[in-house]
Amino acid sequence: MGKKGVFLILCIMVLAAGGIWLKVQGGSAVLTKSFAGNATLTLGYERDVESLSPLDNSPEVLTRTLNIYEGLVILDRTLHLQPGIALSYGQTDPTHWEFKLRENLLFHNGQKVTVEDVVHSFEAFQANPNGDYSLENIDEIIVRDAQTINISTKRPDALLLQKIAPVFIFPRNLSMDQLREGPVGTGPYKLLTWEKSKLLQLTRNDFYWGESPEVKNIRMLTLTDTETTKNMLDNRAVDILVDVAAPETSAQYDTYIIPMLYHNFLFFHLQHPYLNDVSHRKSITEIVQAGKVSYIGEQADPTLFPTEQFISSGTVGYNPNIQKSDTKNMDAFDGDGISLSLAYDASMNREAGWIQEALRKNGLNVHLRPLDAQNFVEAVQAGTADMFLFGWMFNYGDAGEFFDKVIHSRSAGSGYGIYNGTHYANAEIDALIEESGTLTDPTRRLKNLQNINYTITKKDIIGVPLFEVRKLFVVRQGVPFQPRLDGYLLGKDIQL
Amino acid sequence: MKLFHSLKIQLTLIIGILVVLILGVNAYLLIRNKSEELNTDIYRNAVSFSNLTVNRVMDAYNLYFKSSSFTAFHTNIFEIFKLNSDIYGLEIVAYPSKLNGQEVSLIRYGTDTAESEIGTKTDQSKITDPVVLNQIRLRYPSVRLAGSDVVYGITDKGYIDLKGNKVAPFQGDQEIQNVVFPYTDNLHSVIYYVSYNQLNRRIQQTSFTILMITIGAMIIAVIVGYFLALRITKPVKVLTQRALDIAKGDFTQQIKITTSNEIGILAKTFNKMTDDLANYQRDLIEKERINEELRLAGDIQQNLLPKILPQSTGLDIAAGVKAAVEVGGDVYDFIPQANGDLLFYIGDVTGHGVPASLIASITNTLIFTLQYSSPSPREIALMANHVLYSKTRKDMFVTMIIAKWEQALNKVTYTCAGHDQMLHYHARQQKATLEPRGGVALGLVKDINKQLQDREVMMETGDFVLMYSDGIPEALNPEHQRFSMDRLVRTAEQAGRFQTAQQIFDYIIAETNQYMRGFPQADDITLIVLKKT
Repeated sequence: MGKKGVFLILCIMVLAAGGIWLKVQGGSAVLTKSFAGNATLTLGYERDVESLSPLDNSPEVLTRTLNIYEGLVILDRTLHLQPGIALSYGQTDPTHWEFKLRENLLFHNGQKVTVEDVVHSFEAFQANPNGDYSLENIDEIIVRDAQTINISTKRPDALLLQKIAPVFIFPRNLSMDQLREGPVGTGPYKLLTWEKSKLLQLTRNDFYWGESPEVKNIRMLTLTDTETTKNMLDNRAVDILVDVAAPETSAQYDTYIIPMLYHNFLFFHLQHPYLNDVSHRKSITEIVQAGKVSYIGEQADPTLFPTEQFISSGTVGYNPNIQKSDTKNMDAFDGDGISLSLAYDASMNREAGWIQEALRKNGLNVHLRPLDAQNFVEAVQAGTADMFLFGWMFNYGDAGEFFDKVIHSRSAGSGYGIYNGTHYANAEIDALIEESGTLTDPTRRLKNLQNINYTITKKDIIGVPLFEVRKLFVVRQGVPFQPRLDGYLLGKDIQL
Repeated sequence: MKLFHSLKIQLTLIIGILVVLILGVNAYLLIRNKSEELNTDIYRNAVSFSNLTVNRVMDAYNLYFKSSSFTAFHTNIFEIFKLNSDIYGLEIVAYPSKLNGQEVSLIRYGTDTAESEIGTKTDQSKITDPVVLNQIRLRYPSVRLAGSDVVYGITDKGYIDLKGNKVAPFQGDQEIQNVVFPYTDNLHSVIYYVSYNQLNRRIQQTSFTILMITIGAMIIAVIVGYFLALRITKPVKVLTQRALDIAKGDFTQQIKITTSNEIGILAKTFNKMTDDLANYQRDLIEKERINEELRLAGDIQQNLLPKILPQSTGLDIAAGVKAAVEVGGDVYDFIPQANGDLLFYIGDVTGHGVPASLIASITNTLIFTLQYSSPSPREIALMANHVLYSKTRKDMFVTMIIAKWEQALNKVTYTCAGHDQMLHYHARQQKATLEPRGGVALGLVKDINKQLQDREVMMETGDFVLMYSDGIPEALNPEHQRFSMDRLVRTAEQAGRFQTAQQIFDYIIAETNQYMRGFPQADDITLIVLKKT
């Protein structure tokens, strides 16, 4: 063996070393063989979106934009608060908070994030007429220096950080029209391409301040057609179907039903002459509760779970002492032909029809008023219907926000009761709600929230809790499935 | 394998293997020590962590989990988990109560990124593992060794086993499976499950890093070793090539190695050896040439000697010479004369080799020429002396007996010029006698007229005369003793029994050889036997 032989040995050794090195580097990919080498995660969504605006906090938009935008703070997949654009934060007094921004943080377009961008973003959220952000308690946002802003609240707010988490920060020089089509944030993923109603492609932000996600590309397919979805599953062309209405069955796919902290209920307008009587409300409640189980059975919808209270299980404020009511035979109840209007978001047509039918049997005429989302919100705020079919997302697993906006009596300018379409007003409950907003003792606060829950459910009977809605995911076997506690699925949470 | 016969490969491999061995042993010791150290850290951290977080776990359980606020429970427990990455799961256990006759698991909770066998379970199942059951009943914090039933209870006064007996302190150098920590309400314990995956991953990563370093070092070692080996083997290869050249007879090339190390010294020695070999070869060629010339000279000399002995009536002749070297200084010849007479002579030139040979040749030619000048051996000798004295060096001379057989007279007339005495065997008396010595060697002095005289020997039937060179009487045996004249006389007398001159010749030569017993012949041996028939 001469020089050639030695050279060959060296080559083999270098190749072996390289192989081992690649194995070390690519070790994690080996953990999920079916996913190995495929750094692209393909997600399928039944619901289309028209905009990727940072201001749009509807679930179907958020499940996409949470990958792109970030707030000063972020909620991780266990809904635990983490620093986001703000490197650090703290409370200087019960109503003043200070946030220090990360230095040299860049938007996806390369622009540096400034305190002015933060202020501009907050102002945009506050000014958005369609928004539902729980920012009413924010009194003032002040720029202290190039890295520091202060936020003061009108009253102490224990949940302020959770409330500002969805306030996405975006570059102030971009118009909202630009952002709708071309979102620019600081999140772990940035927009690659977007073919509306078909495919949204995100790619990893290589300059992300945090831990770089393991999934490089996310393909978000809009699959509104059942046949297409079935074909995608048969061809294993999609990794996860997110929040589908009915379980798609296909080999090599598993189905998961995940709590998403979403709740819906029927609210009464308490100033209605008929509904003002708690006994009437109780009777209607019993009628609806009695028919709920059979309704779920008819629908065969695995994502609907009957509930007896207004707070979703898993949420702070859920009261395990509220037991299921005994189902009474309400056949004898007669509503004497009373007519009641029922306003609802048009997407809940099914539930509204069922309630109409259930009450009709007991002599109550329900006039259905299906509305688009905007008009429905306005109807709730104005209290222009006798009953409302209402849904609530307990975004950070806490009932406080719901009580503030929906249960607390209306109080102009305070942010309390802005969705109080029932016109419910109970000074004691108001006091408990306000106290809960300031309490730092978790035990006392929990007790408060549970008491409020009990009172509105069992004593004052302001409505009928209907269903907890859960999310259904269809996941290709071998694909790591790591949804958040709030039911969203983010690319950065997928660990290969 | 021929491959491994290469010094270059051997050196390269040895260096590579040594590097791997050294790094490997170092890495093994490092990892082992670090692993034990980290095991201890994990154990201590796990116990401290359990102590510090048991209240938080139970608070979260009581506050949130019991009220179905699992979101907040998850958040709190995850916060706790984040504090110690070696804890991958926990289990809250209730002690026996009126509702439960035995300890039951209230919740088993695990991080879903760690060991997958632990998820969130709330089935309130009874504890079935007897060791864990005993750990819970111990009511002290305790740890269980991984893959074992051995439990160490931790009390203020030291370590105890499951029966409460004091045991030797646990050092934490072994892996533990869990930590069971009782809650202060005396109703619950929390079991913390300990994972060594992170440690193992770190060890694996460290091992990979060390492996990479080892491979890198090995590659460097092989490269360095290869070039080092090349520095050694390249000159060796040159030396080998040069040795092959030398084997082919090429002594012209010198090795150009300038290093001053052993290889350089070897190269210098090799160059010197090449020079010596070249000189030796030149000498050898010269010697060969000389030998060839000597051989030719010997041939010429041999040609001067009589090839066929003359047949003379009444005389049986045998003669021969055995030279000590290629060419010798002994001469003899038989020159037939008219009337059946025979002129013959024997001579011995001083010294040996080419000079003696030349003189011998001259002498041969002279006698052959001078036979026509005079019938007298004495006259011939005198003339020969004149020529030799005049034409040769003064230190070169020839002893000689020139004789003439006169057939009609049965007489040998001879003149002795300083040569060994003629020996006469008298057949009738069966006695051998030495003729008188006399004369002076030819070429020694200018005028030897007075010293030479003709003598006569009368030959009867059966008589023989011996003329010989001093190589016979002076022949040495291994004891360095001479054959001597006396022995020659006795030998001649013993040879008297033989019929022919050749038999006598052979006998005397054989006796001489036998006496010498292989001892090297120092001088030419020439013998002439003339027997009267």
